[in-house]
Amino acid sequence: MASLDVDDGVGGNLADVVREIFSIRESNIAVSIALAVILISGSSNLYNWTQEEYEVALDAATDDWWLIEFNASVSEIVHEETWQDEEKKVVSFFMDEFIFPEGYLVGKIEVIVKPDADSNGTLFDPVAQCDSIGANILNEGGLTAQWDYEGNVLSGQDSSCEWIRLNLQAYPGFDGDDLNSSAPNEFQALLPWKQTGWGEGTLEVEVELDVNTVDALGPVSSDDDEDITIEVKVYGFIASASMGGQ
Amino acid sequence: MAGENALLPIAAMIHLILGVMTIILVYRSERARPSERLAALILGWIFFVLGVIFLFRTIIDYQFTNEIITTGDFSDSFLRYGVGSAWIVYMSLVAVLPLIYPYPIFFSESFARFGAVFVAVVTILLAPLWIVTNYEYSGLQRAFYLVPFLAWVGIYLRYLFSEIQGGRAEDRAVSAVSALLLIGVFAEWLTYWLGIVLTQENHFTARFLVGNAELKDPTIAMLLSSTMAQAMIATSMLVLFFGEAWRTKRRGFSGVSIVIFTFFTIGILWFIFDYTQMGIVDSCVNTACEELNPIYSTWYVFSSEIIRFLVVPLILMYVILNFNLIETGGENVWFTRIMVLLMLLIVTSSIIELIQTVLPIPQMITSALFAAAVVVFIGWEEKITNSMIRQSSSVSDVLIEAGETGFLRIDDGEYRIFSIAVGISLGLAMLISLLISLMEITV
Repeated sequence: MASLDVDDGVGGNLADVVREIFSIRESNIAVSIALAVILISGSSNLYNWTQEEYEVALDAATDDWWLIEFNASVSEIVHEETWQDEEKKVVSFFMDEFIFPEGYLVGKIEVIVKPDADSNGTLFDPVAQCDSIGANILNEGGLTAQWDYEGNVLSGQDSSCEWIRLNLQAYPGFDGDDLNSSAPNEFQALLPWKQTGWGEGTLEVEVELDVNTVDALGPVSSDDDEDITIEVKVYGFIASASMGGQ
Repeated sequence: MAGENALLPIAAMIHLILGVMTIILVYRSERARPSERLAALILGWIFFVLGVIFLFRTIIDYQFTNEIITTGDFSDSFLRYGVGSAWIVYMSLVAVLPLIYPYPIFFSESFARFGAVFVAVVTILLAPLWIVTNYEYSGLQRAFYLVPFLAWVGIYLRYLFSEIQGGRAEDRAVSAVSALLLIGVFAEWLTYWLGIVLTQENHFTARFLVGNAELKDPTIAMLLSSTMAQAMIATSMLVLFFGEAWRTKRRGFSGVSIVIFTFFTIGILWFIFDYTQMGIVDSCVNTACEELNPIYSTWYVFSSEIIRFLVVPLILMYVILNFNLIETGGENVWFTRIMVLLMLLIVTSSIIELIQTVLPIPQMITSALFAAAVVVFIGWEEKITNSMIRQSSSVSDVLIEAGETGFLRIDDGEYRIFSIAVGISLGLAMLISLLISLMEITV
């Protein structure tokens, strides 16, 4: 074993130090093996990285543009009932009665209130007038939907025998149109369109009737009721993504 | 479940206290060997800077947990720049220490001055550089790990062979200190050795790369530095394991060998547990990042975090006290006792608190356990302190007596210069970070 020729307060130079540290042959062999292990371990990790993980991770960390397309399906329930003059009724529709294919989510709800087709006069009662109908979608049935969405039409009124159309957005952001999205992969691009829990509960539709009659005219002028049809269409969707949108 | 980062505030407190007390003790240790006194001073500053880093991380963790800050706000905040700049000071200190201790490779009376200049220059250059490049190349500072790796692994093997083959029992002090310092610097990373060797760790690197993509883009520089640092760490663990296994066969068990065998075994367990979670680990890359399993996270807290935050300071304190880096007798004895007791009490209370978060033990029982620990520590404080410094041996003495190095004289003023330079470097690093975060980067 080499030793430094030093006195108190005098140190060896770097060459002496290195010579001293590497003075044992077996130790040097062990150090060489350690360095070889580093090279092997580092190289294998690096090779593994460059061959597999790096490209994948880089791809995963970089956003691409995806075209999100919605495949829609409509489920419909029709309710017919007679309203008396100045009667106000609430009709409930249970959302689990609307049937969709597996994997579909509820996107939006459309309610059409249709007055009796004969209410604007017939052969038997030519002077009959259109009744006044008011319809509202009520936020009382615990229905999970976008109640604050500005595009909703939750109330409507008509006295000219036209249909009243109401709609409510159930799924956040869903309007049925395809859109572009920036995301690192298909899974993340579709992630916003896979939330469950929207469109569950009971849809409450309130309809009020005010009958318009013409006194002493016509053979059946004592009109004091109206057949009203409520048609509820629920739009379900399933989203798919393809790269290259924008 | 014990929350991740639950130990961060305690770690910050422990490191700051140990740092300040070690630095004070260094100035009160006028009879200690100069090179060892300087090593204690560097270790004291390492403690202190780590304390600052953990303090930053505590605040960051608190702000994210309570949704006070978003990733966007954090990306150009003082918190991010501050912790990044403090890491530079830490890494430069880690690169300086192996040149003087345990073997004074850089045998010069002006080493303290050289170390001070090195820390200052590295900090002033790298702190703003990493900030303006959005830390995309900051992984390159891992190259500083080469110094402790080459120096301490080399010295460990050299003195292990001279102990066993040359029959020089006193050389064990040198190899033991080298092994403990390697553990002190590489810490919990040593327990990932098997995952690194079998390339499983790459999956985690990919996860962090994707997880951090919002903050910075992945670069080849980061990939290269990470791969090489991991290779160094795994090799260090293998060298220590085979070295200690050989020594145990020839000389029997020692405390150091038990610590190393424990790290080695934890490494095997980590590999197995990591393997079971690969689906979640890869989720960041393949789909979207999923949360880690709560039991897996608890295992992380009880292994990696306890090693990083509690075991490492204990090991470094053991090196400082047991290998006479500072004077523990005379007027310093009370100071030393307070430091040891404080350390033990904080560690005990932290571990009891951690256990309480996992097991439904009533608080009455854990309080009683803590009270019992306090009584034991106070009753046996002299014994405990003495056992920490019982087999005190100076590595410098071993080397000087063997004629392998000379007595290095360092003027008292040099220690002061070193402390002032490191303090100013840390202060400058914080100032640069604060000012740039306020000015905002517009390039």
